[in-house]
Amino acid sequence: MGAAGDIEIFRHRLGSIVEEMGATLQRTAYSTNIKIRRDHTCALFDAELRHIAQHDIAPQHIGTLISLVPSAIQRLSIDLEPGDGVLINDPYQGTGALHLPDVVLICPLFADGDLVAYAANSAHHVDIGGSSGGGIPPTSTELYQEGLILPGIRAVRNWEYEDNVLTLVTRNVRGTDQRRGDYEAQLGANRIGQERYRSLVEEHGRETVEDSLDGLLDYTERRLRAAIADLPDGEYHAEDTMDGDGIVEEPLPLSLTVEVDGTDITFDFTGTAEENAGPLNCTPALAFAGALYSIMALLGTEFPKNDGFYRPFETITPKGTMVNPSKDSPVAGGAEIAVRIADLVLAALADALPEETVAGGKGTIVNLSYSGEDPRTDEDYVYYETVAGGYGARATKDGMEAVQAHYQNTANSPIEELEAEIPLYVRRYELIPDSAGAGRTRGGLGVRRDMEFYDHEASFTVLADRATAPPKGLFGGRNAITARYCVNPDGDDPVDLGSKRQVTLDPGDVASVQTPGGGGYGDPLERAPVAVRDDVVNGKLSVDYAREVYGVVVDPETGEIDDQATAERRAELAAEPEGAV
Amino acid sequence: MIRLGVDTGGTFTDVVCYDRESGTVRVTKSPSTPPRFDEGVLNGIDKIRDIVGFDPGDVSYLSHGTTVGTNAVLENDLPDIGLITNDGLRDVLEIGDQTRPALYDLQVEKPPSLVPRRLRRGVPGRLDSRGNEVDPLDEAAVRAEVDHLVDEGVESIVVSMLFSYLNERHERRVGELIEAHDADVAWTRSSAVHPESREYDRTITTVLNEAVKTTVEEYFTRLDAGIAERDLDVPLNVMHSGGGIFSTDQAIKHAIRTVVSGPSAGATAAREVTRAEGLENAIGIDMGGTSADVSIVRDGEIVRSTEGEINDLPVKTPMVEINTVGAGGGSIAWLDEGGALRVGPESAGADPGPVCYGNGGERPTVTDANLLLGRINPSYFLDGEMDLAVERTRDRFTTAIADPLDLSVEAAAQSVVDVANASLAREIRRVTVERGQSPGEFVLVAFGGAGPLQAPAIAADMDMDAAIIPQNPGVFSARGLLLADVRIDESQAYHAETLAVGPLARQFDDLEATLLDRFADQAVDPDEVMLSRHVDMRYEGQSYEIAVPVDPPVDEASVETAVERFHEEHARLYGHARRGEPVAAVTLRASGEVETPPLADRTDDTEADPSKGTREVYFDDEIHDTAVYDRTALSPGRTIEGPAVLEEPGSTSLVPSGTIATVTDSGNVRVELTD
Repeated sequence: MGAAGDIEIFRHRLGSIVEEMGATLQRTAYSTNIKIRRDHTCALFDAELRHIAQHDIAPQHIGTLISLVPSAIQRLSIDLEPGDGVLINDPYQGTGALHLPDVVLICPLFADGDLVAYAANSAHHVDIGGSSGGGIPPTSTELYQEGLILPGIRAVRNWEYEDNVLTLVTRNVRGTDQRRGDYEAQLGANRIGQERYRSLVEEHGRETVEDSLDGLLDYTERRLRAAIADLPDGEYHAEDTMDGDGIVEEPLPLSLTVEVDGTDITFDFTGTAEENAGPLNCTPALAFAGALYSIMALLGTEFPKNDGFYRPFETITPKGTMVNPSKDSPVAGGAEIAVRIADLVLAALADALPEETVAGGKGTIVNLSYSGEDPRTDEDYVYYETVAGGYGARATKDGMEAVQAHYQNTANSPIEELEAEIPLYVRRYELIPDSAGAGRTRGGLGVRRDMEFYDHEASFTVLADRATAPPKGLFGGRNAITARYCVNPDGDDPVDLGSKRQVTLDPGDVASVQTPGGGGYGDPLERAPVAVRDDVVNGKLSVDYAREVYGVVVDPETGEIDDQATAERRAELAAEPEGAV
Repeated sequence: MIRLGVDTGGTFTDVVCYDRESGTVRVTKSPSTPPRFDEGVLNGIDKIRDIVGFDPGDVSYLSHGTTVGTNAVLENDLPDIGLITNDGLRDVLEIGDQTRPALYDLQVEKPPSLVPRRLRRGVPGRLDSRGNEVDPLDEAAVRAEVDHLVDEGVESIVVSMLFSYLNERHERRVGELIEAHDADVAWTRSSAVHPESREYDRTITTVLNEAVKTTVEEYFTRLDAGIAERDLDVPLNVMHSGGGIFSTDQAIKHAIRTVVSGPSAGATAAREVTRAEGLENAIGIDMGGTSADVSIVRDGEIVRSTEGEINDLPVKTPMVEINTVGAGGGSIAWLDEGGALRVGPESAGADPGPVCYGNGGERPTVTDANLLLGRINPSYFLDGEMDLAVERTRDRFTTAIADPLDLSVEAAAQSVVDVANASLAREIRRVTVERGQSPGEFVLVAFGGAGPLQAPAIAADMDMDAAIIPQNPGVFSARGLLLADVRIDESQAYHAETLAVGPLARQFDDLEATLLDRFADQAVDPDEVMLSRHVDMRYEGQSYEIAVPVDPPVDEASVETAVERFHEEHARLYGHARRGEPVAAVTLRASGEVETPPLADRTDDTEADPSKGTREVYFDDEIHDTAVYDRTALSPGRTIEGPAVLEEPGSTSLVPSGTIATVTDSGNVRVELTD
């Protein structure tokens, strides 16, 4: 290796290893979450438990991995041997984890008889036991209700699961056989990591590898600090509210101050609501991951993800708040908070980075799970998925319709796959007109997904948010509409579920998930009338909304703009005081 | 007899001509003529005729690689198409897979939905996941929506409904109602174009096919006329994305298959070299000025996939598995804010090009690094057609790279080459492992202007045994046009609850009948067609499939063998097989090929002296006096010990120290990498 190119070459080598691990995990897993929705991440740690590489798919797992891997290994009372593996999902080790369904498998990597590194991966299993199928009980009051807690146990010897352990684990989850496949896939991924890392060490020698790692981590830190130095110093504040915790339905403030000081950034969550009795709690590791996502996106470059990256950051999560809950509080809804934190970072830094930032978006994960007995086969089923929403408007671009939010970028289940697997019909999967916030650029539209569960009683769980606090507009852009989660929306007696509920559906009931749009950016009166008209013609915007908020008068029959009426209406709106609509 | 191949690129149209009698391959370039690319093709044919002087009646084979379909998609220059789908699901096309194309890019856009919302219409009528009717088709609603779309002036209507790949009745009925309309509007159905599961993929593939059809049809109509005018009495073959050729009629009907077909000629050529060298597995790397295309040959056959994309849109028809890396000779070397040396993805392209071209390029590139390392001959470079500003290159390199890194110019240049190779190696490894291959089981076939210089180092990085550099590597990919087999692919979702011999055999029979009909349309005798059958299988509950061959005749034994192949392949790819688990068949695939004979342009022994003396070349941290050879004067069987440099017009090859190069009987250079 040429000296100057070392870092870059080394980065590629490590990247290759985690990519290969990720490809193995994704393609061999059984859970839709892992294989299609790509809700997993593979990483490498060095012998000193520093994070050195990560497969950049699902950034929320960063928080989990950098917290759990060091703590699990340090707590072990045994010496790990080649071919060993440690299972952990405990949100109360280290600085926490996302939630119980994200199961982490850690394997020590050996070369020439020495422990030289660790391979780890975190994968979102479709079920982890507990009171609700899919591992997302919306009304849990203790961690114990959320599923099986794996505190960091040696479960693998000689690259095989100990049968006792795997039998115990899979007996405690729904869909035993398929979950076995997921655990096997996780092991296969780490085993690839072992082979590849060993050849790296054999090729270059342990000392060179370790020197290169030091170089890579320091280099990453230098690059990151250089990028932070370009941000204007200051304290930037934003706040929002969460819907309630599933137990008590009242708004809960989420508060964030981002302090940029030279080459350092502090995320301070002081002012955030106290911890909740229900599952709306977020571990510090996950809160950090949520904030970090937006920082990574704003800084604009795909930095290597390793220990060097985290050095410039400090996170203040006051104890006893919902971003640092006390031990064994439920955390199933933690990602709801984390994804909103990503929104808050973008809102806070809007004044500092008006061209780069994004207005408020979906801001909720929209966890859904369904379970019951399939009338076609008389077998039990459980399914988990998430639904997209609108993206916030950008300085010069509308928000995207129907996409995932921030660090969440998981794909949907094709309807044909879903209906083959689960006894339901997707009756609607469509954009919701008028759901976006108006603006010079508008937010993206939210999505409506209606599912009819036929010929059986089904359990339907929603663990989401945004039913009360809308995605916010920026710089005069309007807020989007809120989400709605309900049963039989078009029937005589629709039932609203709020955002965190588990209900039993009668045969033929329709569960409807209506996600929020994205907030607007800039004054709606500055939007080109022809852009407004296009949305009207395409049924994305109603004639009334176009007239009321954008001041653009479109003939519903011809789809033509009435120029004179538009000029008059816009003048009228311009004369109204702010926020009249 | 003459074989002609014409490959249209954005800037140049390459024409390649093989004369069987003399055993020679001749190549020329003429400017492409956008947007009327057919004119450039005809100009190219005229030009090669003038050079070679053949009689149009002697031309026995004419094939063409075109980008008109690709350009139409990339430029979103598509006609108004209407969509009729299930009630409540008209936005499936716009929602897509609900992901953003780039995780960290806040300004990213979703791929276009191709059909605007006002032209996407839902009608009641529903099938379940076994193909049984849940709700009858509402014919009145269909008529109303057809009226609406006709009023909107659509050119064509795509019909795509849930589970139509299991039961096409609703889609067909909608088609009948469209045909019953006075307006005489064109239509197509997803169950005819892409009868496979997953509604978004099937719909977008069908819409794309319909959308480029008009463009492709107009193009080939003009081109066919021009060819007839030139008294070429030979059917035009069109290169498709599956790495084969088909007739212009097929190209119009299956227009989507002409999209992203460009790199498949290179893959086809790489396959020929692989076979000629008696090898099974190779990775082809076509490295030009701005990027490198990576293709895979496994067990003597091009690796294909159905997971292609264009413009972030999925394209689910079989295509040569090509992955593009942003690393080429023109890739710019730079230092990032952390002080690391980076190469690409920005490229100096052809204009201004590398610093050494002297066309105003200021930023050092991989080509500049190779020049400073002595690997490119300043006077011989590009056949002496360009003056090189060597001193200027050295100055720019010193200022931009060497001084800030406190390195000698040579060490800095070596680092630039190493970094470029590392990013290529990572990509090759990624694309091979994602397909379950290990790169070490392959040899590297390197071509394009820049490939042969990097090949041995990349191959060594991948633990490969050898790198092969074909003849005329600079224009090697056009050669694929002369070699491509006639190839047609058909697929159909498997319909039955479980994997069973009866339905499998019947459904394969149907599929093969369709396939042979398509050959018959091209006037091919069915007896000439080599058929192959694959089934995409998975364990029940999985959503990723593996295609495994099924031997004829389809019976208990061959199905059992196929299932066993699936277990083995699963274990090979993913480290575990689950033999106790039920295996599901998802998609049946039948392909037919009519082989095009190989070229017989082997190099003869030459009397010329290949030695061109020595030059100072930087290897292994020091400067070596290195032998330089004229590649074109090396006879088969000749071996050369590294370090050495082989020069020929349009390309330079490197034989690193510690390696031995042999000129094979087929005229390729094989660089043996010994550990």
